[in-house]
Amino acid sequence: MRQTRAWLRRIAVTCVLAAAFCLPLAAATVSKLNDDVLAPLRGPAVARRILLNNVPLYEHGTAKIELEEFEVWAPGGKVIVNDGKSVQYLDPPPMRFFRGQVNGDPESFAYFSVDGKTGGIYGMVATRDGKFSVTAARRHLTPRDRNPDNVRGDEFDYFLTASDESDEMPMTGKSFECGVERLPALPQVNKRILTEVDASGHPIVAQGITGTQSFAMTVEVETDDELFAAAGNSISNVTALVTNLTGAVSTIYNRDLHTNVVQQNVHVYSGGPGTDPWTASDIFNGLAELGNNYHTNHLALKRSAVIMLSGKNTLSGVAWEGTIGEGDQASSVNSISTFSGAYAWCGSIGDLQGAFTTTVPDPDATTNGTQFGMPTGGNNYWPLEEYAHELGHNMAGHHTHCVAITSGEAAGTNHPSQLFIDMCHTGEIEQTPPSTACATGADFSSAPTEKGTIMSYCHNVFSGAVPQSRCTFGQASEVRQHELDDYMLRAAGPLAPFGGGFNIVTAVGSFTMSTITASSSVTANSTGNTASVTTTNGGTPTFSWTITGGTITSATNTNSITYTAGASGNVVLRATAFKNGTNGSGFPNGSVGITDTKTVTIVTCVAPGISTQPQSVAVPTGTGVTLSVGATGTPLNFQWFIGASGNTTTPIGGATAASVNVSPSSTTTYWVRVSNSCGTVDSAAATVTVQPIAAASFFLLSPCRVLDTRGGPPVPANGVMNLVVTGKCGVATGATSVAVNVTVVSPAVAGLVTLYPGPANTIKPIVSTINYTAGRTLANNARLTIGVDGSINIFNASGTPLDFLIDVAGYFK
Amino acid sequence: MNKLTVSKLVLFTIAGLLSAVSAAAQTGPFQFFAVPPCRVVDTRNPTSTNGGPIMGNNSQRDFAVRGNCGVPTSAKAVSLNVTITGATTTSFLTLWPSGGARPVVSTINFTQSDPALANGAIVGLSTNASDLSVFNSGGNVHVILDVTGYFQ
Repeated sequence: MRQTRAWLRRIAVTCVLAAAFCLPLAAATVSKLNDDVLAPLRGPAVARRILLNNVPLYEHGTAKIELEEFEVWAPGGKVIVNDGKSVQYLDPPPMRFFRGQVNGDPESFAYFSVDGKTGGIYGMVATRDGKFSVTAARRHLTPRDRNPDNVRGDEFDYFLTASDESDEMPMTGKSFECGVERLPALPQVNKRILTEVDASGHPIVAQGITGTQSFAMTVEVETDDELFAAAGNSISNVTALVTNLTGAVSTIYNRDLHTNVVQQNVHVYSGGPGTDPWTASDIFNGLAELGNNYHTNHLALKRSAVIMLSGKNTLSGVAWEGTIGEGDQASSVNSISTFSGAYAWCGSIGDLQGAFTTTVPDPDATTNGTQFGMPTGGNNYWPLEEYAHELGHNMAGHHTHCVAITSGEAAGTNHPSQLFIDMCHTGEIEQTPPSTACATGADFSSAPTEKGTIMSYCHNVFSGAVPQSRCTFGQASEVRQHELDDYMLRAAGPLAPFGGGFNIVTAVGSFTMSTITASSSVTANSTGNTASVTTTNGGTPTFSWTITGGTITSATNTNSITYTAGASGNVVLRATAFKNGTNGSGFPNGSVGITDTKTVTIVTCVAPGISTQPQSVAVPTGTGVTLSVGATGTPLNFQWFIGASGNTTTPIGGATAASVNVSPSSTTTYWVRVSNSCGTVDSAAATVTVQPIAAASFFLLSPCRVLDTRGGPPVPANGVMNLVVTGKCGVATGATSVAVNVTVVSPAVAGLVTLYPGPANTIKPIVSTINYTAGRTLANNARLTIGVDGSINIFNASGTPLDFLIDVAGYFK
Repeated sequence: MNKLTVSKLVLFTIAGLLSAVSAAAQTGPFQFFAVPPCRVVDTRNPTSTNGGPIMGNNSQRDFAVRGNCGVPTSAKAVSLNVTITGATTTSFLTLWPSGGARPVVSTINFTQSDPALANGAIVGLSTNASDLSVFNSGGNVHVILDVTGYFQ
């Protein structure tokens, strides 16, 4: 079943850009480019963004063009030159590339490149009103200039030449070949694509064209010896031509589809006729030959698509549709046995009138001189549109004019929709209910209602001298934008992780990754931490891990790793899972990756230990007491409980510090658990015994001074002094209260003293025993409740140490 | 010198207590029960039985000691510390069991120059709901009573 559906999709082969014949070159509008344009392009290498002022696009005015520098070559890309005897791998020529738009014209694009060696400038500018290309004419010719590889850019004058769009050939009498455009039901296909989500519920494919994500695809560019000949038998010429075409295509794709097109390798055949392996003479066999060759020789070569830019005079191109990311597989269409895949074949790149009519620049020319780095003349946009068109088919964009969805629909019935993006002839006008399947040649006799897009045939509909095409897939302002969204598949993911593969998840179906699992906190520098990732929904993925803040110690290519964390901070674990396409061919382009990331917080951790156990204590009824534990380790977490040690039934809410204040109404046992990620230790239990209030009689004593701090340390400022009173001055053990006279001696500042029962960790009540002012020795009498341990606490609520006296008059017991 | 003064005050206060109750049937002897120190009255607090307002000129307040701070309803007398603050003039307080005639005694004497001043006392408690009366002779003054034990 799956094979059948895949095979059906591959029926969508033919998308012939037919240029029936060539018209004479019409008079062109030419404007000379001055330093306002040339100087910024040749400016310092640090200028990543430049503004061209006074670009002579208009008859009575100039335009401003904003440009950003971008890359056309993939990292490591080469010019692979085969002269029939040997193969050379050349580095890409030193070129800088700029793309942008004409200010105020959202439908425009502008592309320029600067040859870093010669200073030569190439460019194409398309606006809503016209199309222009940069041409050049040499001021003086010397014998060495006869060699086109010796050109120097500053010896040229540069011109902006308007295209007359004579490449838009009439198709009178021709049909749109609806009969062969039997496509799978793309709206359904795209619906399936759009409903696929990742583990977070986010769409992983089919981003809307208005989305903010950008994508990249890598193309392998093939040429043939016919193109080499048409480019003046110059490796640099054909390389510049191909590179500039890719740059201009990328400019359009970036603007309309948020997709950058970069070229990996450019293959040049420089040995003359027969050097190349390409023998086919028509587009279908050319595509089959390309697919078979790459299946046989370059299956492991990572790329999104292979584009053939042929110099053969076929006037048309052909491509497999919707095959980027699918890899190649055997197929048979139109009796051609081949391997379908992300292959596109573009003919006549170098054989159209005006493009390469002159092999050596005319020394006397002031306009229309040929610059080999860019197609020039009236047909200069044909190679660009053909390249963009056929690559668009690889991206699953099909024709935006009349398209039959099924064979039945091709027969004129059951169109699901006639909301075509293009309406360049009457046959495309919306009809409800649908009644007309496809336009025929008869429809082309009337004037078109609008220009077509890159994916249309509308530019072939000739009506007088009216330009019929635009270099656009459609703009966001267009009414039918949502349809365009459905037409072009979106590529998810950046280029880098896939080594040039174009990540279209539709190729492999649903593929989700669960969150990385790892230790939530780990001991710094400890080994043996593990993390793992799992994928779901079929296939046998391969895995790639990276780690920041630590070191992977084993098993980096499985779904589970062992790692050593850094000293502190965070460890960022990143896993990428790859899975090949459903065809199982192992073709790298068919692989898809999903990346997940997890951050693990590293805690510097020392197992806890208890240095001081909480102490049992007896207190009078109604007295609060503070229990404390001394602990070692890092970090330390505390939780106090009521009950026997280890019994976690009754935790004390909020008691998460090393000490806790308790005020039990009856005798209660407490303990504390000290823990961190390295371990847990439980304290011994401490019992707070609550002594009932006992009846006592008064025992009179001889007056006796039980405390005089003038002979020792004073009561500390804002501090507590604990004093055992039983056993002193005749106060009997077991006394519950003592009758005293207390005296503050010459206090330095005003304050008060609070006397309350021991032990020392008893919580101080909010009461006072004596208030005093600065410098005034003052006394008061009081009955002081004695703690169960026979002590009292003296709290000095002032900012200076205090001398204090306590004289006993008797006690209660 | 200071000790002597305070001793006189203690004796004077106990004498006042004895004098106040001498008109009624004398009771006792009582046992003493020490409690953790506890603030039972503070007129700086919001208005309530044992809270505000501040005591006014030549005024009397009746406070409830029993039932608070661990002092049971069976208590006959209380050991406490009387603290004044915010006095506006020279004055004195008299503490006595509520319900009876105010005895001619004083419990603490003070002036407006005292930021705060305290004195210890033992005062009988009546069986009224508000069992302890406080009289302020002159001006306004805040009264704070901290209990340290009781007799019964």
